Amino acid sequence: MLVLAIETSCDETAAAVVADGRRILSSIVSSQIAIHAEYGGVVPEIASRKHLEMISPVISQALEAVKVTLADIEGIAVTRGPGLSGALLVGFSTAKAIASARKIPFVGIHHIEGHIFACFLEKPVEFPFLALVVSGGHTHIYLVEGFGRYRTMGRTVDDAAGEAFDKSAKIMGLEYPGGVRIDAMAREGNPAAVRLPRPLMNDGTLNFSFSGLKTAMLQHLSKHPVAIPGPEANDLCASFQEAVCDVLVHKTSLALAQTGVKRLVVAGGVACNSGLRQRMASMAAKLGIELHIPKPALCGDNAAMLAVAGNFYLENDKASDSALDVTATWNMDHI
Amino acid sequence: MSRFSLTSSSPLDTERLGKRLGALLEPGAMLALRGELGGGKTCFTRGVVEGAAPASANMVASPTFAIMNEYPGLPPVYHFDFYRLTSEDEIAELGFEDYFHGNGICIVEWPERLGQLLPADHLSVTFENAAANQRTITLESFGFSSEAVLKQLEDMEA
Repeated sequence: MLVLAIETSCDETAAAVVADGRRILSSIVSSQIAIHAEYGGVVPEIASRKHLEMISPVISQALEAVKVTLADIEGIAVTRGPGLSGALLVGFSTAKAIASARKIPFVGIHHIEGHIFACFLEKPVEFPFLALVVSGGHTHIYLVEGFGRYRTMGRTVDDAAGEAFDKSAKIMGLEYPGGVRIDAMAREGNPAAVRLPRPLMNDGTLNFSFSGLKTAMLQHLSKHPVAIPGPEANDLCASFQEAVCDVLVHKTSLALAQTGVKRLVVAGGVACNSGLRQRMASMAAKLGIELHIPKPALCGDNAAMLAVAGNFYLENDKASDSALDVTATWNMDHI
Repeated sequence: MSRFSLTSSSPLDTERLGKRLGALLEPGAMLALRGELGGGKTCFTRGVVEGAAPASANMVASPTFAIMNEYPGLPPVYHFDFYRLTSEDEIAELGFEDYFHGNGICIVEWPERLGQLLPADHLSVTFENAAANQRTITLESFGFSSEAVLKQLEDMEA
């Protein structure tokens, strides 16, 4: 099935054409295209107006890149939530309008469900598996038993891991994008140089907390200011990244042990972090776990990832009703 | 305008204060949280939701990335963080004022970004780092309804 996928849940306006929920024929993300440059490329497209400006050019580019037209599209997968209603509505209404005009089915997808299946575009994973989703807004562990069958096992009780990276970078005075800078500087530093807390490490739950780590960074820097660039800044970045990775790896391995599941997917923007990828790989090797982390282009927000679950639902008679609306909050356990 | 300060000696302390305040809030209430990173704003918010919409307390997390988290309840609590927004125009475009005068309780982090959009009647809560784990929390009322809430809280704390 040839599926057009549309994503407008938060910062990115994105569209993709995907065949059979497996092969990406095109994938366009607004921040990567020229029209975005006039905004400096860092302004979040949270405002509906910006999504509105971008949605048509982004869909046209996705279609033109594979030389198809809307007449060739057999179904549409679109983000239905969670997110800001105004932003979601732009993509969702567009999807409904195209579906109605072309008389093809559409299906609303959970944004996180999209991230979890992004790696299927490289290689499908057998069910059940565990998914660690780490991004600017999420740090969650899910048990995935099939399409639409998810159980939340752990989550952040305050900041997401990506937010901890961005805010710590800001506290240090690093330039945007902060998470990428920390990753690069951490490679040159000593991860044992600065003692930082591992919040909730031994609380017995699968939950995360990164707010205290940010506070510890503030307190450390107020006593020991660092020059940037410099070896001390590199050491601090390495120590910070090590603290985040320690907690993520520990809780994930705990979840694997508790469930006895042998397959793990790591997804979301923070899955680009080279330190986390290495640490997860060595944990998986040690425990005999089959690990799947998508390539960096599929970790951040994109539309192609929606087409995996979308294709499944569309082919299994689970298309959405035309009366369906967006939802700002949407629990993954009740899809 | 009334004003009242106290010292919190732990995150749990901060959360408990939030809970006592949350139980006093009526639909339409607006809390403006101020203070540096790591001051305890998320802890305090979890407490407010425990007090106002208890079934949703375990949903509280930082809304920095999402801009707004919604916690269902009677009344619902809308938790905003305008950290990533830079101008009043951007916020106006998102249509958030509709929530400010609606049926829920609004909690706003980075309220200074709201400029003129911040409702005149609101309760300002400022978090300052004192010693390592200590925070000075100052509550100030602006307007008639927030004044009444602050008086009640002050009586409870006395």
